[in-house]
Amino acid sequence: MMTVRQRHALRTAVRLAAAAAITVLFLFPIYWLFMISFKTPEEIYSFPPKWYPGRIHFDNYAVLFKDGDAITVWNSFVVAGMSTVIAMFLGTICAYSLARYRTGGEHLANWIISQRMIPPIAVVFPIFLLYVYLGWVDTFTGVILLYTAFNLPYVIWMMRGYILDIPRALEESALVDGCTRWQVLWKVVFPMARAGLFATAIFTFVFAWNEFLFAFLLTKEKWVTLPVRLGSTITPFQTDWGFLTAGAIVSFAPLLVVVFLLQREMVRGVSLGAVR
Amino acid sequence: MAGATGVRLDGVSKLYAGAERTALQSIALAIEPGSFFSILGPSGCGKTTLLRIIAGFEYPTAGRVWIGDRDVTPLSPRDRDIAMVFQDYALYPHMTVEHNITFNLRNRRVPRAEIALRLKETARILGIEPLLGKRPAQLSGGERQRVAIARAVAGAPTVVLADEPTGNLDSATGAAVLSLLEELNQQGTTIIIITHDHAVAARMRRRIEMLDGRIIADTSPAPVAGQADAGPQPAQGGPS
Repeated sequence: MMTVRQRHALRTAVRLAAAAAITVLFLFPIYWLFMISFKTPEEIYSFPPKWYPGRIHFDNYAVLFKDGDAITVWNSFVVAGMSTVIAMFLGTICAYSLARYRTGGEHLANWIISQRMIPPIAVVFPIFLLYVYLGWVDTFTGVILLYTAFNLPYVIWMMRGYILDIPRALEESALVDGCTRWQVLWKVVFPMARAGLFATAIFTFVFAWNEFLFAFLLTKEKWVTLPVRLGSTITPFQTDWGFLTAGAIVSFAPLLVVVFLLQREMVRGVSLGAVR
Repeated sequence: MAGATGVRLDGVSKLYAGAERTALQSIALAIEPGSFFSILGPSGCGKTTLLRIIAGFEYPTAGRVWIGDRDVTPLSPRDRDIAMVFQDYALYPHMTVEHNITFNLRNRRVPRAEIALRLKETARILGIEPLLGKRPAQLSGGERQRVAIARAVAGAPTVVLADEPTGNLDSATGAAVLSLLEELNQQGTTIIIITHDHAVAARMRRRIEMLDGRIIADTSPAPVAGQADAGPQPAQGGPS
């Protein structure tokens, strides 16, 4: 017969084992990605597979930067960064208007978020034709405008929830304390919605950073983004795994750093908006 | 404190969009400079709407609002020279107590030396000097309300509006907060409090009672301290 203490210890051990198994399950693909990116082609295709490279090998990364493909990392950064900044600015102002002035009536917010639910494949060809007509294919303006438009509904919806969580009395108090409406936004609403702003901005950036379909169709050479460049290494005849994994590491490393640095704000932001 | 200023409402009505009945029906009211004034009534009687119209958070459907000799009807709250004490304190949680109190002064670009002076004086009067470095979340309800009052009076407003200032406080803390407001009033500030608590209203020098958007009684100040109230009188308008 087990004592209460033994049962408690066993339960804890089972939980820890389950947590460890799940962690390994999720971390293994990332480990494997890292390892492949440092292997030689022989090691990549060896059978049985090698769990780690014989020696750390940077050739795959060197190719990425030597052949000028690193510019696609910069393109992704510029496109995702600019569209996030613009979407956050416009979206937060729209969200404030919806939350505080009920602009457009009760259901406008629902209509806006419904735009986010449209499958991209349903609109990609009309947008492509429009872009060809306007001469916006493979242009800075075209890509940023599109990503901003696609991210706006998400930003508006999320920020509306965060703003609704801020007591209206605080804004009224700030008005009495000599603030204009813009100052109320800047000095009270934005600082109080900081966690929400961070979380929304990070998710918006990640959406834009990872986006493939529109970038694939609407960029050709100059503004090709990293996901499109990586996708082009997979052909029916050959897949350059070394290049692909090195590119994938370069692609998610900045996100990993940002999420690691801002994880507290993100978790707070996500849970704050959870009830709206 | 600045010179006392009265508040006057001329035929103020309020009908909210989509509402079937008016929240306020042609209110005519003169609140004398330096008054210690309460608006009493049950929930939904229109007292909060009345206070919000005086503060400038709502605009009347009809009628005019005067503060002193200025028609403030179209003005935003920041231009009305008023201060407000909220029932839920409405302290900025991302600022320290010190920054909460000086927020108004900094927004109005008061010189730093004067801000420091007013902060020190206000904190001393309200007994909140040890709290200045804390955040609102670290304070008790009574402390928060004292900070809210400090914030309201630091800008030396001529009129202080208070929305149920004792509503969230226990009776002892509530009485202390009322005493603070009384002291401010004795220094010449016009104080208007809304409450549904008759015991709170009884401490005021003049009170009106509201029901269904109308003033149903106006109890004038007792002529001599210690005497009974003059009793309910019909509501009156006219200039201050």
